[in-house]
Amino acid sequence: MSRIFRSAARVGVGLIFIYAGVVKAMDPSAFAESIRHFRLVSGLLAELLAFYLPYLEIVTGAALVIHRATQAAAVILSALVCIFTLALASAWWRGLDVSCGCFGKTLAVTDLSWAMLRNAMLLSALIWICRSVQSARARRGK
Amino acid sequence: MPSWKHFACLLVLPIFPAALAFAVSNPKPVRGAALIETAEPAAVTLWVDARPERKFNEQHIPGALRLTEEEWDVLIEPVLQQWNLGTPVMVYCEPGCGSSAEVAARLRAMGLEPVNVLEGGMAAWAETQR
Repeated sequence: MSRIFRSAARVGVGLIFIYAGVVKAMDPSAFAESIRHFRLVSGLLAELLAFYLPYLEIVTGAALVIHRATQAAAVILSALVCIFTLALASAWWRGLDVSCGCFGKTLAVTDLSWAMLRNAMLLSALIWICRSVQSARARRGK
Repeated sequence: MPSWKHFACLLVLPIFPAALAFAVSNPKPVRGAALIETAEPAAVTLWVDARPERKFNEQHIPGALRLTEEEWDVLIEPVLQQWNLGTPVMVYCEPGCGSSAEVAARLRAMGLEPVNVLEGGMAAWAETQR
């Protein structure tokens, strides 16, 4: 039962990141604009990130869904969620009027506390996936 | 611990589709020498100068409007007022600078199309006027 629950969580989280990546990959200019609004990076770097990050989410999300390199994918996505959350926190601290941009324009979230709560839930799920893969591997090793 | 090969693979793999998408979405700069033959007549092209005010005051393409990332909020309004649907926008700065590409990217993000960057910048335009 717990195995089914673990698989469902892994596939669910993977699909969330694939969806977030596809939405942003379809409109990289809008995502670059969202990145610039945070005033942390600008110019060409913002544009390069706007092209790279969506595909990173798609690839790592797909790795979670197909259960290949799951632990590495979970670690990378956890790092991404942490970076996004820190960026949101710094925007809130500086009083910037930004939308999250996490899911492109489809689910534009202007309430940063809600976006941070969602990120915290995703991060918890990713850490749990990472640990469950590790413990499953340890059990197989016994 | 996950293998470093898995990390490398997951981090490198997205570079390929991202590079392809980047290449497709960013049209090559228009060469100054080819500008006269290929660009729309100056009267219907909206020229955008992405250089500092001092440089703009020294010399600029007739009819050009200034627009920089630093003064975006102030300078974007006149540009939008001048722009009509379908009017080609040509952004330029100094030769080798990156500000025209950045301004062009932001204009594209706002939905303006087509937006091109003048390769060689102001110097290339001056060359065509000789």
